[in-house]
Amino acid sequence: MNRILRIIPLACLLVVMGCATTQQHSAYVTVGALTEAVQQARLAYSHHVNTCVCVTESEVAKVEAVYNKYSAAAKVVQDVVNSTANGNPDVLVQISSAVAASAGDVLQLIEQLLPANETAKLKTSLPKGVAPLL
Amino acid sequence: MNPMQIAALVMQCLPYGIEFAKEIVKLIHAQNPSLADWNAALDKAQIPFRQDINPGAVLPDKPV
Repeated sequence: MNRILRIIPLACLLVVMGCATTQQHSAYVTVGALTEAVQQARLAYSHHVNTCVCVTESEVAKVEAVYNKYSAAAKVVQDVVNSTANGNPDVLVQISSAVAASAGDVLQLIEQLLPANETAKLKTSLPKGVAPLL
Repeated sequence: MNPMQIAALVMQCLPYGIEFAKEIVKLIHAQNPSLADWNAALDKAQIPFRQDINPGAVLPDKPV
């Protein structure tokens, strides 16, 4: 799960590498990377809860509360994007930072709660998919 | 981004899983993200947290 936490600096890297593109595109890549990362962490945690059958209601509720804050932040971004059509690049960059902060909270909490062996399950078979990606 | 930058980025994404790497590449290729692209990315955040949790797998809290 530590690898998932490293997504935050990776997202920053994406922004830096995307400097040749527009600010709006960078914000889009950052937000997209974070929502995908949280999605994967949520699925990993759900899998852990289902297979372990050792997680209490209060723990699930705690993670759910943090996730719901992130979800609400993303909804605000979505409303801004939809209301401004093409979007104001400055606003998009600022609000994508807000999503990054709340996504980081979700990832950090799941990292604390997930057993180390579950981290390995997040990784899928890697090498054979490289060529199609490029 | 040039092909070398994309290749470097893919290599950095791979430890997070092949699906994650694919998603990143897809995002980068959307040079002019449309409203639909933005919504597709943000809709993932609206998935209910417990959607994939089996309610029977969650233990009730111990009485205090």
